[in-house]
Amino acid sequence: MRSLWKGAVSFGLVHIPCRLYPATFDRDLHFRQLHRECGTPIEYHKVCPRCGRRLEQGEVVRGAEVAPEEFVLLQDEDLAELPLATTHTVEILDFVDLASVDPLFFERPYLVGPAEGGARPYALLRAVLRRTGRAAVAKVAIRAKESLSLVRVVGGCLVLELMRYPDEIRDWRDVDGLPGDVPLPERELEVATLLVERLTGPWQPEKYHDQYRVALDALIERKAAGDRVVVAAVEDRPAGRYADLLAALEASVAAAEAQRAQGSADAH
Amino acid sequence: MTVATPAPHLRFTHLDKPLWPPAPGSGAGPTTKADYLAYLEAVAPWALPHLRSRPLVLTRYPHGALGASFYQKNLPESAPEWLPRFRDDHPTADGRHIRYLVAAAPADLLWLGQQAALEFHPWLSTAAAPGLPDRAVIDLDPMAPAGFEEARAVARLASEILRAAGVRAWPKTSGATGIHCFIPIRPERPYRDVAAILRGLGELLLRLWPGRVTLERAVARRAGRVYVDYLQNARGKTLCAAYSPRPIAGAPVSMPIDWSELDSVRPEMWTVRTAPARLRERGDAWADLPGAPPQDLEALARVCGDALQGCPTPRRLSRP
Repeated sequence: MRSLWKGAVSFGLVHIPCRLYPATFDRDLHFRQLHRECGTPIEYHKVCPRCGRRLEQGEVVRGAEVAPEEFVLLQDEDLAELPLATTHTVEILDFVDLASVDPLFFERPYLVGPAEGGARPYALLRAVLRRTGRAAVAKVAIRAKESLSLVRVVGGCLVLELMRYPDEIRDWRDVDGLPGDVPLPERELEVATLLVERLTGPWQPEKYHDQYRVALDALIERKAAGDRVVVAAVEDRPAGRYADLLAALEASVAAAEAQRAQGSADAH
Repeated sequence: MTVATPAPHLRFTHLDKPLWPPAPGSGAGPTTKADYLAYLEAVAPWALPHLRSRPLVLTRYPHGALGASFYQKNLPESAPEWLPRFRDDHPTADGRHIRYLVAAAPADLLWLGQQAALEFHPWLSTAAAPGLPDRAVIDLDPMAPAGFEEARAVARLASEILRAAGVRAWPKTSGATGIHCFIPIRPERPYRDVAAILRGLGELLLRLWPGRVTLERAVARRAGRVYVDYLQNARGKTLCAAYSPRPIAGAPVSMPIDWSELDSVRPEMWTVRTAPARLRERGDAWADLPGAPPQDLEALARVCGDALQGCPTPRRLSRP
């Protein structure tokens, strides 16, 4: 598995050389956009509307809009001077109870694997998180941004959850029309509870699949096959392979007919 | 008369109105709207899992079960806004988009009662993939003078074929004289492909038992035999839901059963008045259907195709 980041997790005097791997797959189907007339995939170009021409890579710079139409230019060198103490370090700040962190904060998970010389301290951190049921709050610079993160244990592996900062999360109180504590009839609660219990079972993620995706794949497959409807062909199968089944079924029919005849004989 | 309602935002009227006349000779009174509402409330926990994410077509009987009826797909303007609905992206012939009810909570079912919707028919596909059914159905519909006894015998034979194919089906009484078997499948084929495979099963049943089974499209020529309606596997063609009542005197309901019960059941055993007791006692015979793994419909197609080939009386079959 290819890592996308190499660095270290550190807390106190412990220093753990590590690698990060993406923990999820993107299963979405990404469509290509084509020119309808000739079927060629289209290209995107950067165009300056004022000069009316295509720009090359080196001609584009980044700017922060400080007032309408007023920009401050930022070069790579400017950004390099910013204090980013956590560059290539997952710096553990605190330990918290995992259950106390709301899933709203989680943004993207990464698997953490030990790098050279990291196996023993890795095992130590993993063991202590398991024993205490805690998770580590840490800062990490990844994707050109210093992020808040949480390090926790999943199975035999440390996982780094990239997290949102509190000011990136909307306050649920801003939702319009939330009902207060409406008095609900006990009967209504009972029926609803019964329904919930009826549908409650163990969490089995393999039970669920993306039905839209399945349908889309099937649609594409059919189109690729020239929209033929494939019905199981029966023509070239050796006859008699199901002779036993057929004999059994015919015997069932005969038995049912006999029983019926018996029944009507009794009735008369 | 009052109904303990889990829907304070729903207003119920005409609670004493008789919706079903009593079954002839039963000596009971008519089944009223209050009875129906109480039924819907009682069975909601068992009925709702089978309706989840499925657009519903309703049959409304404003003058009771024996009066005039009409199908209702589109939710009327007057429908409460809290009812969950599904907008069909597939437009009607005149370019409209139908908004179907998708029942998710007990109150949604109670609304059916208030509307005198005496039958409800869920799609065999879900709102997630409207064109790709996740249920295949075997609809065994006996035509008079054939009745439930004949449907039962054909269902037994069908169950043997299903067993040979390793396919599990979940049976229910239709509430009238028929039997419906539901098979969970992966939503990956259009309706017509599912119908083609179920047609193969119908053809095998017909070949095995021509005196008892019919695939005749002309209603008059089906008389006295069990019609295997494989064309129910089509978009918008829906069978009544598990636990939906039927517009028949005595208010019978379509009841999920276990195969082991097939020999002993009678469709009129369970009505709007009596079905809740069975459920409280025995639970949902289809409890494991919503989470069941998709069944291998190709295996059924193979078994039926091969068995048809091995049949002693060759007859050219037209295939779609």
